[in-house]
Amino acid sequence: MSSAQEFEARILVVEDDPETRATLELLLGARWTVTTAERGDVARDAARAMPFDLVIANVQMPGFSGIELVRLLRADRGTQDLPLILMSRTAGQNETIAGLEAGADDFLVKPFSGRELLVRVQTRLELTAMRRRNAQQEEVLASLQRTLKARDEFLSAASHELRTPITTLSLQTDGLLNTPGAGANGGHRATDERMMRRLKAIRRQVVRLNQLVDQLLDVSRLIEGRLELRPEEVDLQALVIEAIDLMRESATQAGSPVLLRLRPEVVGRWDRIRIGQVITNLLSNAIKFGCGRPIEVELDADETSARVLVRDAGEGILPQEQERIFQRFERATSVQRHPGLGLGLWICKQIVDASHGRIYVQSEPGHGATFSVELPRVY
Amino acid sequence: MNQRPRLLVVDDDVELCESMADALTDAGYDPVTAGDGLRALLVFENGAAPKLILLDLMMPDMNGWQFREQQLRDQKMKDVPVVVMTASRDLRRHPVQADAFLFKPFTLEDLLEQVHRVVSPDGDIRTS
Repeated sequence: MSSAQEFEARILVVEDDPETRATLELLLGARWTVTTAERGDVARDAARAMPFDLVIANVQMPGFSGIELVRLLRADRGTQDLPLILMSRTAGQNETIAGLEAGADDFLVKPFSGRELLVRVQTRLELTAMRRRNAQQEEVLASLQRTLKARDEFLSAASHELRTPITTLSLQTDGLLNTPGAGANGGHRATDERMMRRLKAIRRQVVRLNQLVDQLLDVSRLIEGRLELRPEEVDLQALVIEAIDLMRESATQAGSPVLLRLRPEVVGRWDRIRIGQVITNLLSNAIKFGCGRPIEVELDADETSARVLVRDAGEGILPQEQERIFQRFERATSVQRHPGLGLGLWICKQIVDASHGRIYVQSEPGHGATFSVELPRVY
Repeated sequence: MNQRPRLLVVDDDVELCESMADALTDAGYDPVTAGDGLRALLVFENGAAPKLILLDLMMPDMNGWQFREQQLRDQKMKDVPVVVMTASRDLRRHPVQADAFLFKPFTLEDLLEQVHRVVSPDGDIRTS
């Protein structure tokens, strides 16, 4: 049952008296693996050469005393943590103290009963086992932390690295789109239009790639707690219109018209880029999951707070999924059906939480989903 | 004859340099490219000084920060405006002094907007 019996403990007995040595070997050998040494220097070499779980040493030995052995083992890196019990016949208080000061873990005064010996040894071994488990757990924890740090550094470096080729792609695509008669084959109009359509498809993918890279970088930043909001006076309506403009091509592509219900002006203090990102993310989801049906965006406000609603008429989200989709790397559907990193809503939630707002979804499966973002106008 | 304004693009990514050169040529400029700060300094030694420098930061041999130090110490070069191009979003730990910034990935529109702010294709220098 106890952990000390679970592992095959190895005990080194150091005793110059042959009779006592034999008794100890007999007593301890019934439960554990026992090695004996008759001199301190031999014991020291043995402890350095092979791993033991416990050393039991006599104090009074010719030449090399038990206390000296304890001191030497404690001074050596390989044996400094080795559990040590000293035994002594006379055991004045001074001797006990000297032994403990040298670094012994326990002191047995001769004559002692076999039972006392076994209990003390057992206790010492259990403590050792416990200490080892703790050390192992600490090691696992440290290793996990190192792995996480490496992952975050990698995410950061990778998204950083991806930005240069995206710039090149973007410049070339825009350059071609701007060239008069792009793709002209002797000015053939149909070919022109076809080429333009293809170039625009490339540009959409460039935009998408860039969003994915931003998400990756955001995750590493959010994990490190480095998301800093820069609130400024923002007209939420302008922000919503900007986001819709940005996503218009993808919406058209998906066949989902975006309908707008705005209020004249909703001004508050928010981080323009981050709140814009939240709205863009919600729109992007509505386009992705909206089954090509119309998407409604609604803006509403009162004295203290503003609310943006993004409503799609897609498949909707099951009640049990409605919490989960805001967690990292989660999605309501399978990756095969709707690819993505599963980070969009998690990032939205981090931004909205940091803005002291609230984000939630209302949905009835089969009847679409409405995502709401509520933001205090001043905080 | 109307001289196209010379611009210097400094980036260790060859493809990006070439794409920027293409875009700037299309827009009526005379771009020259350099793969690092050392080569950028050579541009000043050989030929007409550029009206504007578009400078990447992370480069081998001489990086953007080091180039800036050199540039600001040199009478001939110190007044040429610099647009720093960077993929970083946080330059607080390694600040760099620049007239403007382009955050990668930037679009053609972003690029031309920043360049136009300093120099128009017909060579007018805007002083701010």
